Amino acid sequence: MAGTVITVTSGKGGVGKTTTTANLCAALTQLGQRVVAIDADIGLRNLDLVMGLENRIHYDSIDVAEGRCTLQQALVRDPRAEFLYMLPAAQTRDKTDINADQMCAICKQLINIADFVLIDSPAGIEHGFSTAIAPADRVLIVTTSDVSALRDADKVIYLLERDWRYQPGLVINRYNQRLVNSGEMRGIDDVLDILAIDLMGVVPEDERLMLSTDRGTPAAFDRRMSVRRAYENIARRVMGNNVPLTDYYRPGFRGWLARLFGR
Amino acid sequence: MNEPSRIEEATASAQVNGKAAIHSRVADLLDDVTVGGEPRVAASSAPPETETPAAAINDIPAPVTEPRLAPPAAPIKPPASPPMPDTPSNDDHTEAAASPETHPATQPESGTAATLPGEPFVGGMRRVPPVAPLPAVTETPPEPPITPAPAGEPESPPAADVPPFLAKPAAPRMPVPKAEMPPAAAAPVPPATGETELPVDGAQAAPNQLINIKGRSEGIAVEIGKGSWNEVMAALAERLDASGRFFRKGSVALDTGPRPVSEDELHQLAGVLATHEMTLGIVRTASERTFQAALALGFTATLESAEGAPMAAAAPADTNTDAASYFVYRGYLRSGHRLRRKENILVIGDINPGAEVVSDGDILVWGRLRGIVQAGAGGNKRAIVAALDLEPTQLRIADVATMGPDPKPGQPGRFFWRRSQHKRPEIARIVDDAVVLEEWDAARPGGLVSLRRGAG
Repeated sequence: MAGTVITVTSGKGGVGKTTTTANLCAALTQLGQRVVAIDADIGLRNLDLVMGLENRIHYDSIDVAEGRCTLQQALVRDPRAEFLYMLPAAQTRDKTDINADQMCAICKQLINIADFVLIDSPAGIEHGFSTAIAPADRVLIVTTSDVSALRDADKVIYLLERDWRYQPGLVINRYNQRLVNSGEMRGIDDVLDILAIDLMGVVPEDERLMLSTDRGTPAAFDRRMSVRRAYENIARRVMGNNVPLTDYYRPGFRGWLARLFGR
Repeated sequence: MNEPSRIEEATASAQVNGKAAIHSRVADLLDDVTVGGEPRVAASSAPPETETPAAAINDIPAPVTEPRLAPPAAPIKPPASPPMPDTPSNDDHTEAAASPETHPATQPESGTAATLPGEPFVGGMRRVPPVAPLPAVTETPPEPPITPAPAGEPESPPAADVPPFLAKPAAPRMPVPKAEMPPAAAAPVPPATGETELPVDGAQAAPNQLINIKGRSEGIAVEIGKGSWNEVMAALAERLDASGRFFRKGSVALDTGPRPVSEDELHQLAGVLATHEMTLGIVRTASERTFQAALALGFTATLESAEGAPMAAAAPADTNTDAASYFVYRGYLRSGHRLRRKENILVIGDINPGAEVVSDGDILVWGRLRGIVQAGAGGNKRAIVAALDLEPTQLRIADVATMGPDPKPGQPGRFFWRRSQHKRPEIARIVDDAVVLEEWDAARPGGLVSLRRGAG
């Protein structure tokens, strides 16, 4: 059975595409899936840092596309996982140096050896976005619940529906239940009201997540991080399992318990 | 790429990683020796840490996908996987995630089964039922263009009950504008009454025509068939060259069928026509994409269904001359989407912030209106805007503009704010050169009689 190619995109930058990609890869591989991550953000690569693999990179995706090395040589193995590889982006080139056909060819090879191929899309809706979307079987949209991220996500969904006929899934990142409870920020329902696509998961805000990014250890690998459960749930949903969403609205002691253990 | 630095880099990192292949790496850096990352899948028998010379992917023998991470109980993959190179799998991707091959350990501990068809994907989270990606009525050609799929895998229509996200797109995974047309689009239209086929040259009868040029009483009709846009342009230029002065100074009715044509392509076509002293009069299309492109370039355009029936039913108005016809749009109008019609517009769905809807007549929204709308764009001050939830970013009727409601204290992001639970449908209209918003039944008794009186 060939694997599934999932592109993680957002439109707006800085909402957590790369973090989500890295953690989703880590969560999927811990659930026994064979995963390959592709950094499509050529010229501004970050996925290698977030996954902590920057010192292992010898070749990159453009070397593969231009035939200077084989795909296997360019893949970087993550030693913390059983089957997790990353195809890094070139830092010294730019996004026009690889086209959709080359990306599709790479993914076509990868789906024969992996269950999931995750592509970390660059921000924006230009060439790099199209290149990252072209090989995708599914698309995940990452958004935070602030207005600028929502509008950009809305635009990306529009483009996906118009030009690519995708019905993407949604990941709400940096969800702050405290602000929602005080009525100052949009809740999950309000975000879904606007975007009206399938919700694949909610990642609560956690300042330690930034630290784990800094250390190069995805939170999904870190047993001390409670946010790890959120990524695990998203991974299960991506695999097709029905995982109930943690009820962030539930007040009182049970809600506290749910937030403590459930997410 | 800077080769020396690459070699140094590789050398340095190889030393760091203690790799054995360093000499051959430096010597034959470009010759695909055992350079780069670690062995990936070929090491079916080797432990993961062993550094085996990396073979080219295409050289990996058949039992490539020997599970290296299989839990002790059962392998995730059957041991005998198909050989890797160039063997597109025939498996259906639709249920890729919920595959029966999935090891039981990967099921949720709580015992929840894989998503049942038809169930909401995340329990209880979706208030809005799944919306079709975009209605075929307005946005997409009824038949997806048939393109060689990049991944070379068979098209498998998603099961009807699978949640949209889990379903693979029915269309090929290539951008629509690049797609070719289904054969049906290229079928020449049989000449109808009032239409005379002009035998221009021998190419007319060629099968699989790129273009089809007809003379009609009101001008010249150019139908565009399938084929790449460059071929079409070349064929058009060739035909126009061949026809000499016959078509000169004519106005062209362009029929693009369901082909999505971008602004650039349309501009290119107009340029080709201009070099032959012809003008693009009207664009007939069954593609919303082409329609928007034509409007963006300022051409007259009509949007029709693929069968040739006009999308907007032109219903004869009995009493009200404003209600000439309605253009019905079903679906979401998202940020960046622009809908411009001469007719009245009925949107069944939401208009999100960042979307624009412009009509010469009324705009009715069965849903939330949070974008920018302009009714009566031609100057009709009797036009109205009505919505179940009227919270536009900007609302204009004729030349009178108004901003949306100010944010309530303590509520950030006003246009993205949640809908108030007790919101009633509202109507905006012009009274004394100002836009007035009224609740649907605010004017009762008398009700909408006030609408009939109008203003201006």
